[in-house]
Amino acid sequence: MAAEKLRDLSQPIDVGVLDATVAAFFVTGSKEERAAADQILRDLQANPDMWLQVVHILQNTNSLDTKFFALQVLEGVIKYRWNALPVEQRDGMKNYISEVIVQLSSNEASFRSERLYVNKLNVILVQIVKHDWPAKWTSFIPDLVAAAKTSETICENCMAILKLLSEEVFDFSRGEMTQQKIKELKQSLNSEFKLIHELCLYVLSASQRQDLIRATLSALHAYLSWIPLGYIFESTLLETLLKFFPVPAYRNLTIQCLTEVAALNFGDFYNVQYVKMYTIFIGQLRIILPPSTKIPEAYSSGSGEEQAFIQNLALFFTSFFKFHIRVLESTPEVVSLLLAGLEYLINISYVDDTEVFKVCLDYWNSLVLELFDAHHNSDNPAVSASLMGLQPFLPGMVDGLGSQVMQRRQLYSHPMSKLRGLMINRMAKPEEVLIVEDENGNIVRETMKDNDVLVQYKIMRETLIYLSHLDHDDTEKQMLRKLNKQLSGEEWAWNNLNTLCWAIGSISGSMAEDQENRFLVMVIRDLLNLCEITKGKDNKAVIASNIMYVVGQYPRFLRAHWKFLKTVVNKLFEFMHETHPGVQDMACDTFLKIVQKCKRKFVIVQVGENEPFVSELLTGLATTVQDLEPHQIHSFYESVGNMIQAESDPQKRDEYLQRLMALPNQKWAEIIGQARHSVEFLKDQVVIRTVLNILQTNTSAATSLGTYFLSQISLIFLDMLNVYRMYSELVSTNITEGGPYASKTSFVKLLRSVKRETLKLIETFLDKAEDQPHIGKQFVPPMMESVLGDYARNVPDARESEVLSLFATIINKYKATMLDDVPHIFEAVFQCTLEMITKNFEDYPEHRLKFFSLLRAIATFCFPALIKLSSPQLKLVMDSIIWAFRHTERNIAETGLNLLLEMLKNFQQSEFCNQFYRSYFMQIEQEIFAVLTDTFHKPGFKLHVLVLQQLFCLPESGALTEPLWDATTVPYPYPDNVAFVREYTIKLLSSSFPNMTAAEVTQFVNGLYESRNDPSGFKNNIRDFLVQSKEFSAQDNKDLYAEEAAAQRERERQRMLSIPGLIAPNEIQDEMVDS
Amino acid sequence: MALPNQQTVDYPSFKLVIVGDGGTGKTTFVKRHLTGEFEKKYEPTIGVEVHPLDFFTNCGKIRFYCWDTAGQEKFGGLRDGYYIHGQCAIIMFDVTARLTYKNVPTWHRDLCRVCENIPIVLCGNKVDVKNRQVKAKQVTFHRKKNLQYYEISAKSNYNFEKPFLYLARKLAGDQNLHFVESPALAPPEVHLDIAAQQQNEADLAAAAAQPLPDDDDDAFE
Repeated sequence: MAAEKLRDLSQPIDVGVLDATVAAFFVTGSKEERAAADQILRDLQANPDMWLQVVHILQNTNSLDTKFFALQVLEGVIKYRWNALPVEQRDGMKNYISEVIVQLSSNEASFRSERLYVNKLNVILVQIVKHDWPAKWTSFIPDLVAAAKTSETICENCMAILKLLSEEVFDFSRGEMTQQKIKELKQSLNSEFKLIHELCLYVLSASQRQDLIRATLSALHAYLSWIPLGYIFESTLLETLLKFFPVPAYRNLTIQCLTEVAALNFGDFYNVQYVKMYTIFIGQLRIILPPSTKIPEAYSSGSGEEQAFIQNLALFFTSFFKFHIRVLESTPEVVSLLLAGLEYLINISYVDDTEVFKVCLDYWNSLVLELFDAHHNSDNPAVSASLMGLQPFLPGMVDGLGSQVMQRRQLYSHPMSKLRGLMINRMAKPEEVLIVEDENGNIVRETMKDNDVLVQYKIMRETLIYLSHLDHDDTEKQMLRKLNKQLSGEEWAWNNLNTLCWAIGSISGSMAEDQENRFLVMVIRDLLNLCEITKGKDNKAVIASNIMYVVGQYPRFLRAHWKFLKTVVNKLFEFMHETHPGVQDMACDTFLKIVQKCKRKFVIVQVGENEPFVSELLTGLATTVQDLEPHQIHSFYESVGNMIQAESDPQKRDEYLQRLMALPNQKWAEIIGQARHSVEFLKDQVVIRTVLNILQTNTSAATSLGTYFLSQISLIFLDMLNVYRMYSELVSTNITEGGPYASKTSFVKLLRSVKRETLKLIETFLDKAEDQPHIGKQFVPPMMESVLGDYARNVPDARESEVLSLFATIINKYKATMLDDVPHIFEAVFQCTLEMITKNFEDYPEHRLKFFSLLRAIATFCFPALIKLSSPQLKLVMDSIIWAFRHTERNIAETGLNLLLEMLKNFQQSEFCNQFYRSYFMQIEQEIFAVLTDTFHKPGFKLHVLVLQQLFCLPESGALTEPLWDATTVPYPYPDNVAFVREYTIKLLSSSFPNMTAAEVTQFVNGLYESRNDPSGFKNNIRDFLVQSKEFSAQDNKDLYAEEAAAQRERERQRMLSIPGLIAPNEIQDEMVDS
Repeated sequence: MALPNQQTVDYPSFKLVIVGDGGTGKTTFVKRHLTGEFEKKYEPTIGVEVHPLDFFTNCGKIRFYCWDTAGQEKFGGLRDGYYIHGQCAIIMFDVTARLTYKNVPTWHRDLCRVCENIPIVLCGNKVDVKNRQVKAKQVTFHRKKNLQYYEISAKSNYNFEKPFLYLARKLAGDQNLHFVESPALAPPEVHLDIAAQQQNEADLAAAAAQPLPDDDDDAFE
C-alpha cells in the first residue's frame, strides 16, 4: 500500500499520498480502507519527528482536512514540548502561525472558505500564548489590537482569538496549567482588558459589518462574567448592547450578554443601572414581541433561531429576577414593568418544550418559596420577630414587618394565581414504570427511582403546595373549575385528565383536614360522574385509573373513613379480574400503595364487622388473584405481607402468614414430594418455572414482612438449598458438556433464574430482618456446603456473582458476629474467583465488582479475620487490591481504592503496623503514583490523593516504631522515616519522569510534606505535579516562580508563627528549647 | 459537501459524532441500537469506530453514520480530527460519575470549535442505577448552550430513541417527523393511558357504574 511509505519520516513526506490517506479516512474510503488510514494517521501523529514536517505539509496541500491533521500534530508539540524547543524554533513557529492567520483572515474569501483551518490556527496560537504570554510575549494584546484595526476581517478573527483566550484562561484552565500560571494569566488579562474593552466599543459603534459585530458580541459574552464591573456599568457598554437587542441578527447574542450582566450580584451599588437596563429592555421587548403574542404557538412554528430566543428570554428573566427582583418592587411604574416581565415568563412557561419549562420552573419554585417563607413567618409575627432578636413588645416593628409581607403578597397575588393554573395544567408524571427484559429473558417491571421526569414532578409538587398555602381557596377553585371542564367536555382528553389528577393528588396534606375532606369528596363525586357519562371502555379505564390514583394519594382520608377505604379496596379487587390492558397493573399498584399507608386498618376488627379485613381477604385469596399475571400476584403478596406485618399479636401474625403462603406451600410440597420419587421431575421446564414462581412469591412476602418471615423461610429453607444445589450442578454439567453456548440456552437460563431467585430470597430476608443478630449465624452454616461449596466446585461460567453479593450483604448486616465464618467464606470464594478475574480486566465484570465489595465488607467489619491470615494469604489480598485499582472500570477501581484506604487505616491502628507498612509501603506508593499519572485513572484522582496523604502523614503519626526501610539491604542509615519516605519518593519520581528536573521533583516532594495536613493544598500540589509531569519544563522562568513561591511560603509561615500554637513546637527551629 | 461513505446509500445520511468521557456508555449505546445486545464488559474504544444506523421515518429512511469516538485520553487518536464534517453530535455523560458531567463543557468546547452550529444532544446515561451522583437538578449546562437533554438508560432502553429522533427532526427541519418502525427490541415504556381497544365495553361500564362511595356513606358526613 502506497500509504505505508508515509511512515518514513527521514525525508519530506509525500503530501499527495498523505492527502489521499486523509481523504480515504474522512470521505472516500471503504470501512477497511478507513480503518487502515486511521491507523497510519494515528501512528504519524504519535511519531515525535512528525511535527518537523508540518510546515512542509501546510505549504503543499490544498486539502483542509490534511491541514487540520498537520495542525493537530503541531498542537501536541506545543502543549507538551514547547519549552524544550530551542528559541529559534519557537519564534519561527510563532511567526509562521501568526503570518498565516493574518494572511488568511485579511482576505474575506479565504477567511470564509478556510474557516476550519483558521479556527484551528487560532487554537494553536492561543496554545502558544498560554506558554509565552506575558513573560516572553509582553506585547501580545497590543499587537492583537493593532492588527485588528488594519482590516475588518482580521478584526473579526481577532475577536475569535480573544474569545478563545478568555475561555482557556477562565473556563478551562484547571488541570491544564499550574495554579501559579493560571493566576498569572488571569492577572494579565485583567490588567490588559482596557484595550480589549476599547476595541469592542469601537467596533460596535463604528462597524456596519454583521459578521464582525456578531464576533464582537460573542467575544464580549465570554468576558462579561469576570471583568471589573466598572467596564460594564460605567461605560456605554450596556446602552450599546441594548441598542443592538432589537436587531434580529444580534438578538440572541445580545440577550446572552445581558443575561450574564443580570447574573452578576455584588451588592446594591449598581441598582439604578439595573432598573434602567430592565426598563429599556422591557420597552424594546414590547416592540419585538408584543405582549399579546401567543408565545407557545410562536415557539412551535418558529425557526431554530427564534426558539433559541424564547429560551434565552426565559434565561434572562429568571437570572434578572433571581438576583434583582427587589429593585423592581420600588415604585409603581417599575412594578408595572415587573408584572409585565412576570407575564412574559408565565407565557413562556406554556411553551411545549421540557427544557424551556425547566428553566422557568426552577425560578418559579424559588420565588414561591421566598414568598411562602415570608408569609409563613408573618402568620406569627411575634414569633418571627423574636426569632430575629426583636422585642415582641415593639408593636410598630411587628406591624411594619407584617404589613410589608402582606404588601408583597398582594403585589404578587395575580401572577401567583396564574402560576397555580400553570402548575395544574402542566403537572408532571409522578411515577415512571418501565418494562424490561432481564438477562434471563424474563420480562420485569422496573420503577424508575430518580430521573428528570420524577424530579420535575417533585419540584412542581413542592411549588404547588407553597402556592396552595399562599391561597387555599384559589387552588381549590381552579382545580374544581378544570374538573368541570372535563365534565362539560370542553377540555376532555386523557392527558388533560391525567395532569389534573396528578395535580390534585400532589397537594395532599396541604389543606386543613376538614377542607381537604370536603374538597376530596367533591373531586371524587365529579370523577365518578365523569365515568358515568363518558362512553367507551378505554375512556372509562382511564377515568377509573385516575380515581384510584387520586384516592391513593389521600391516605389520611382513607384512614379516617373505613367504609370508604373498604369500598375502594374491594373495587380494586374487582379491577383485578378486568383484563382490559393496564387495569390489573393499576389495581395491584394502587393496592400496594394504599396498604403501605393504611396497613393497621386492615388488621383490626372494624365497628360492625366480625373479623379483621385481612382475614376476610385471606379467605377469598385464591379467587381474588386467579386472573392475575405472576408479577401481579407477587405484588399482591407484598401488599398482604404489609398488612400482616402490622399485626402485633405474634400468634395471629403467624396464622395469617400460614394462610397467605398456603397455596405456594402446597405446590412446593407437591414438587418436593414428586422429586423424592424421581429427581428427573425437577428437570421439567414447567416445573422449573413453577419453582421460580413460588420463590418469587416468597421473596415478595419477605420484602414486606422482614423478621416476621422467619417461620416461612425456615419451612422451605433446606429443601430450597437442595434444589439450588441440584440445579447448580445441572448448569455446571450443561456448560461443561455443551461449551460456552450452553450458557445461552433457555434451559440453562431458566435454571439460573431459580438459582438467582434463591439467593435473592435469602438476601432479602437476611437484609430485612431486624434486631435478630443470631439469624445471620443460624442461616450461614447450612449454606456453606450447598452455596459456597457449590460455588467453588462449579465451572467458572456456572458461578453466580450473586453468591458474592449475598455474603457481602450478610457481613455488612451482621458485622463482627460473622467473624468466625470469614475464613470459610474466604476459602470457598477467594482463590477461585481471583482465577476468573486476573486473566484480564474485562471478563466476568459482575464477579469483579462483587468480589471487591465482599472484600471491602470483610475489611470494614471483620478486620481481625484479615490479621489472622498467613503472610502469603495477606500478600494475595494486597495484590488483589492493587489489581482492583489498576482497573480502568471506574466502579471496580473505586471500590479497590476505598478498600485500600480502610486497610491502611486499620493496620495503622493495629499492633501489626510496623510489619504491614514495611512490607507494603513502598509498593503501594509506587502503584498509586503509577495510576495517578496515568490518564486512564483520572476518575480515581480524589482517592489517589487520599491514599498518598495517608502515606505521607504516617511517618509522624507515632504509629510506626521501627524503620520502614530494611536495614539489612539498605546500607544508608536514614535519620528517621520522614527522611526515608522523602528520599524514596524523590528517587521514584526522578526515575519515572526524566522530563522533570531534580530540583522540580524535590520541590514537589517538599511541597507535599509541607501541605500534608492541608487537604486542599495537598491536592493542588498534586494537580500541579500532574501538569508538570506531562510537559517539558522551561529552563528560564521556573526559578522566578520558585523564588516568588518561597517568599509566599515565608509570609505564610510568619503569619502562622504569629498565632500561638498554630505551628507545632517540633517544627520551630529555635535554640532556646530548654534554657 | 462530500460526506463520509454517502455513496453507499440512496437516502439521506448524516455524520453523527458521539463524544464523552471513557466508560460513559457510548459504545454500549451504539451497540444496543445495532444488535440489541447490552454489553456489560468494559473495553475502551481505540480511536474511533464508525457504524451506520438506519431509522425509518414517516418521511422515509435516514441513516446516521455514528462516529463512536474514544473517551479515554490515551486512546483518543485523532480526537477533534474525528469531528470534521460532523453534522450532529451526542455528548454522553454517566449520571453515576460526577467527573464525567464536569467534563461535558470541555467536550462541548472541542466539538464547537470544529463544527459550528450543529444540533447537539446531551445524554445522561445509566439512569437505571440506584444511587446516581449527578442529580437531575444539577444538570443545567445545556440550557445556556441551547442543547437538548435526555436522560437515558442503555440497559433499560429508556428514552433510547429520543436523541436520534431529536437530531433527525433538526436535520430534516421537520418538527413532526417521527419514527415509524422501531428496531426490534423490548417495548420501551408503559403508560396507564391505554392503547385503543373497543370491545367488552359493557363489562367495565357496569363495574365502573357501581358507585364507589354511597352518598350516605360515612365518608360524607
